[in-house]
Amino acid sequence: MSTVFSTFDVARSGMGAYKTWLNAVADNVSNMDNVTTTDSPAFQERFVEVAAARNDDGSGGGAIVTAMRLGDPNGRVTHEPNHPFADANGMVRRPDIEMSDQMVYLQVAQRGYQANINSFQRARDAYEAALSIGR
Amino acid sequence: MAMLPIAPISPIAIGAPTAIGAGSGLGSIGAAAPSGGNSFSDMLTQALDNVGASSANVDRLSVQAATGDLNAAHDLTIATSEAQLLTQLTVEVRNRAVEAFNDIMRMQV
Repeated sequence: MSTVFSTFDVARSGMGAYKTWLNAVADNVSNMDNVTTTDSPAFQERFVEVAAARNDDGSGGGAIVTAMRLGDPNGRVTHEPNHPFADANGMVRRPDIEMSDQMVYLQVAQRGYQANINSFQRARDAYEAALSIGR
Repeated sequence: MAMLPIAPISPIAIGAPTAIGAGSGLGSIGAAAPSGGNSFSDMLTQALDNVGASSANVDRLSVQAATGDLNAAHDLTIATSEAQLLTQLTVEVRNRAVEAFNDIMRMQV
């Protein structure tokens, strides 16, 4: 779809995609230390799958979130015999999530969101300038 | 958002006033205007409908924001900017048309 203000739609789709990613990272961070018993699955890391959208005329239509993917349900089995969830061998299951990865993702997602806001603002400035032509 | 039909504004807005001066060298531009189909008033009405639809969208999102149902904050701010720009665009087109009309009305005959 191409509208008068098509850049707005593109920028909005980008903001939506990065917002989804921010949510996913926040979810990962909040559940990172969930401990489960070895006979149940660990918390699975959330991944956002994004694809480029194409308009009918071949121009770019921004980004669309196509799916939410999940990480390894096996997680990491660690030896914590004093834990109430520990099995007969003293093992518990923890999610396979790296805090450092999540922090980097968080930073990238935040910057990406801000970059989309910037392209929106530039487009708005340009459209406003176009409206004042010949005034 | 349903703002697709507003695209024809600029070509017709230029075409309609020049059609009056068809006797001059502008005749070729003026002749192209009627083939565009819509009259200026139709086009302006359509543009105003679009403005209406756009502000209805803003209304809907504002209610969502007030009730806590808003999915993403940027949806509301972008829709607001879009409605604002669309209104400015329509008003601008109308102003130019009225200006052109007044120019012609002031013409000495």
